[in-house]
Amino acid sequence: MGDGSRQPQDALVDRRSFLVRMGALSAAAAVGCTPVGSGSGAGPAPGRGDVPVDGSPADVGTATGAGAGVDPRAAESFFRELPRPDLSGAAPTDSAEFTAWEAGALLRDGRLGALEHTEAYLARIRRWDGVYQAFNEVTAEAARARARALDGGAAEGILHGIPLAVKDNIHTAGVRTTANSHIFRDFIPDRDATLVSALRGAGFVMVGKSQLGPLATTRALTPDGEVTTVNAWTPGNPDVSPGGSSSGSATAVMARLAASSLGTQTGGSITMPSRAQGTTGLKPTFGRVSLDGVIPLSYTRDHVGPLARDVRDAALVLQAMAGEDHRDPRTLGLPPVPDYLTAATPVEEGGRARVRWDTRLGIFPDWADGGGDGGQNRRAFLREAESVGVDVVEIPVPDGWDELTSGAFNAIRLVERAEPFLPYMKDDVRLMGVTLTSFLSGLFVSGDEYLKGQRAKLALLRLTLEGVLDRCDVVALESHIPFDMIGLPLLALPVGIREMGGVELPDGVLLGGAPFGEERLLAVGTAVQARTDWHRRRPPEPSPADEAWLRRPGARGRLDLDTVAREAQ
Amino acid sequence: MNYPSDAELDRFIRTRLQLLGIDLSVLPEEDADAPADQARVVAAVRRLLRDQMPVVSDFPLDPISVPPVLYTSALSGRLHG
Repeated sequence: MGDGSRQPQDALVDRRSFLVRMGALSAAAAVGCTPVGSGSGAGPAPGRGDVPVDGSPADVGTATGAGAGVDPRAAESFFRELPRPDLSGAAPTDSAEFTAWEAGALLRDGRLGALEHTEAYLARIRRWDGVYQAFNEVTAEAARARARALDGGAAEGILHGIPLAVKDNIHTAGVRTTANSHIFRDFIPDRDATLVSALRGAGFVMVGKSQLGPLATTRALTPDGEVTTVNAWTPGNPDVSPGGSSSGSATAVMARLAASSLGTQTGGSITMPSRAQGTTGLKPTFGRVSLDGVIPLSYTRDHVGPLARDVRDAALVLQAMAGEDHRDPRTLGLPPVPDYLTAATPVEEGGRARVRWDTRLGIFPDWADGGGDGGQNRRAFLREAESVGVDVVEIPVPDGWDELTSGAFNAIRLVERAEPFLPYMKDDVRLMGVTLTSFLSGLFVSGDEYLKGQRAKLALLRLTLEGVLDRCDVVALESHIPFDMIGLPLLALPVGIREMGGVELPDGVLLGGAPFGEERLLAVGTAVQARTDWHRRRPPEPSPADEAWLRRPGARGRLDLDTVAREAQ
Repeated sequence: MNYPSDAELDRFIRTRLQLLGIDLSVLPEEDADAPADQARVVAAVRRLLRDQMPVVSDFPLDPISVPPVLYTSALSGRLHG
């Protein structure tokens, strides 16, 4: 069974060597921090041609450089073989309902234009974003100009003509990048983040900057705590969290205001909004996507990844931006970027979807035992996983796992936000708004405690590799925290609907993978999505009553200092 | 040894902030409607010092076999040849 021609990258990583090498690289890794705000130095953004290339193993080799992992033949084959949406209906189809890969195929066929497709999204943004507030800034004119230019050329990039939202803590040349904060309120970078450059190279159209929790710490609020973005499933009820901090990124995708979006994750900020709103969210292995031009929250835990309609869309975005970047040393010396598009393409056996590679899915005791919708959804997910050939195995929780992933060790990350933001706090603590506590608290973790935290990460990694991922290839997790701490990949998948307090909301599972195990996660996710429609469900449009309610001053409510600190990512 | 009182911890917190050049007095002393106030900020730091950091300090880790690692993923770069 499966794809015998090639192994996924997680099978090629030498886990024993991974552990042996731990001791050698600790202190030296502290170089190359991204300056806050002023990081948009002069000079050209690195493109595919100006990144140093090192030797890549022939068995998995690809080019290096952000976005350079795209194999043109694989991309062409990917789009050629995709099923096309049915356009034969009497009513015109709103192209904003297409997934990115569906639209990409039509754009390549010449049956959809980039400007036409972009206008479909801009129309929805114009109509609905007053309700959702998914965007901090909409770049309509720039998007149109970009789409027109793309229509004048051949469809070569894998994101050709695809409208995306970029989280507003990622530098975009000439477009405000505020991190939704007082500090960066008027900051306009003079160049793109490396990952944005890579996406431009792949042909994407930026429709706007998606809203986030202030400085990427919590659900989307104004810097002083007033709720902005709402959950796309409950636009009339701002008390229901859209998930944070990539709140606007998730809402934009689910409300069809963008085909996919970019999120960042330090403490669940891609996977939590994905689970809250039913998007497919992928947090790649730390270092897989450059953090150059991303306003830092934690040097050792920040990640960039896609929030998407489905696994294939997530693979498209990741493929376009993953890779080495000489501006970010944390991306150097890692395994080459593999072919995510193939990994995300379902395979069939006897007319039924099967997982591409033999895979064991580990679940901890009780993970699937819960009652109510949540437990039923998890069991349904496991049944579907088994039906595509995944071997589900129960694994024990390793001794020490709970302690090493506790709130106390999680709090160690606060040092890494206190240090870069200290100058601003010295200038005026009010600049931090409602997020002040978590930034200030980091100044009270002592040096020995911070060091203990970094040592604990190695202990947790050993536990994970030797006590969890030696028994399975993918593990179902309750919380994102363990894999955020040690930089391993996470995939959030929608698995149905659950009722909470009389409200129907999407439910999602969280899968963790081995180092550079993105292909495996994509393969599992796409096989399950080939058999289910959970990822295709979308919320209804906001009602007139929702719109009327949200127009009332103060209707969205606010979060206070203590709540923000408790929920800090 | 007596554990520090709230008042002693508060003095420590405020002194540390003063040493760093951070002026907390620009915030209202206590105002639940303000984005931040001195009382809530200091109380939160007190909880971190009292409830969380001792858990980290007291956690046993062998100093020889468990060195610090900032970037765990960077160590997985070696592939089977």
